[in-house]
Amino acid sequence: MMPVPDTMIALINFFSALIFALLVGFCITIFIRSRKLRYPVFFLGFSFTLICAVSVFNIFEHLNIAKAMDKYEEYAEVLFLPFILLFCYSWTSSFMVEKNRKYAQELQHRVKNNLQIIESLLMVQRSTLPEGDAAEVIDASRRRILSIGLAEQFLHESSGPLSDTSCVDMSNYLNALLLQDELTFFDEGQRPGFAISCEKIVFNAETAISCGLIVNELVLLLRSVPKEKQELITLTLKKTEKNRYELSFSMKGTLPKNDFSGKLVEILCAQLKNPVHKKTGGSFTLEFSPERREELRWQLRG
Amino acid sequence: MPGIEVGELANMCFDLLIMPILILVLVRGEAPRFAFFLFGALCILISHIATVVEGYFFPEFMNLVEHLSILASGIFFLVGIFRYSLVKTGKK
Repeated sequence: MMPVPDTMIALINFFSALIFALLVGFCITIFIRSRKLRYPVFFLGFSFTLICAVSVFNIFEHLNIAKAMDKYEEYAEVLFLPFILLFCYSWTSSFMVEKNRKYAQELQHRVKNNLQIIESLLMVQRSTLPEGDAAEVIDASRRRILSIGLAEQFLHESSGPLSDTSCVDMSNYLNALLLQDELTFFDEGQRPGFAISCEKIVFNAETAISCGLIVNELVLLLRSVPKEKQELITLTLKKTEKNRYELSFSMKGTLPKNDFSGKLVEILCAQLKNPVHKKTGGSFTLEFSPERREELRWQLRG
Repeated sequence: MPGIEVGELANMCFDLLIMPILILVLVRGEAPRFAFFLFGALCILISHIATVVEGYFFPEFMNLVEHLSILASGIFFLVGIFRYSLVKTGKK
C-alpha cells in the first residue's frame, strides 16, 4: 500500500476533533437545560472530551508539532469506553425510573376513577333515601371516599422525578379538600368559612390521606353545628421541629361529639408515626412525624 | 516484540472486556435508540485493535483504519445524538 501522508492523517483527526468538539458542546447544552439527564449527559460529554483530546494529540503528532502528549493519549483512550458504559447504565436507569413513574401515575389515575365510580354509586343510592341516619352515613362515606380520591388526583397530577410522584403538596390538597367539602356537603347558606394556614409541606400518600381523612371527620362534625356558631374555623398545618408537624383545627365554641368519628380519628392518628393528639373545647391538635421520603423511594423502586 | 506497546495491548484487552458489559447493559436496560452509540463504541474498539495490529501487519493501512475508525465513531455518535434529540422533541 502507498504510504499515507501525515497531513492526511492529521486532516482526518482534525475532522474527528471537530465532530467530538461539537458533541461536547451539545452535551454541555443538554447538561445545562435538562435537570433529569444530568448524570448520563455528564458521562457522555466527558467521554467525548477524552476522544476529542486524543484527536487533537494525534494532529500534533502527525504534523510533528509535539509528541509529548503521546503518553496521555492512551490514558484518554482507555477511559473512553468505561465512561460510555457509565453513560449507558445511568441512562437506562433513568429510563426505567421514568417508566415506573408513568406506571405509578397510571395506577393512581385508575384508583381515582374507581373511587369516583364508588362515590357516584353511593350518590345514586343516597338520592333514593329519605333524610335520616342512613342518608347521613352514606353522605359521610361519600365524603371519605372523595377525600381519598382527591389525594389520588394530586398524586396523579404531580410531575417530576419518581420521588415526587408519591408525594402530595399539603397546602393545595387541604385547600381543595375543604373547598370540595363545602361545595358538596353544605347548602349554599350553610357553608362554613375556613381560614387555612398551611406552610409549603409535602407528605407521602399515606400521611396525606390520613391527614385528609382526619380533617374530613372534623369538618363532618360541623354539620351538626348551627351556622351562627360556625365562626372562626381555622385549620393549620405547620412544622414545629425537625421532622415533626402539627395539624390543628379550631373553632369558636365546642367541637361536637360523635362516637364513630372520634374512633375513626383515633385509628387514623394511630396510623401516623409518633402521634400525640388532644381535643379541648373547640380545638383539636395533632402532632406527628411523617414517613421518610427515602423509604418510599426504595419501596417504589423495588 | 516488534512494534507493540504494552499500553496499546492493555487498552485493547480492557475494551474487549468492557464491550460485552456494554452490550449487556443496553440489551437488559430496555432503553431504545442506542444502536448508533453502540456502533460508535464498536468503532473505537476497532481503532484500538488496528493500533495493535499495525505493529505486525500492514502498518500504513492499519494506521489509516485506526484514525478513520475514530472519525466514523464521531459520525455515529453525532447521528445518534441528533436522531435521539429530534425524536424526543417530536420533530421527526
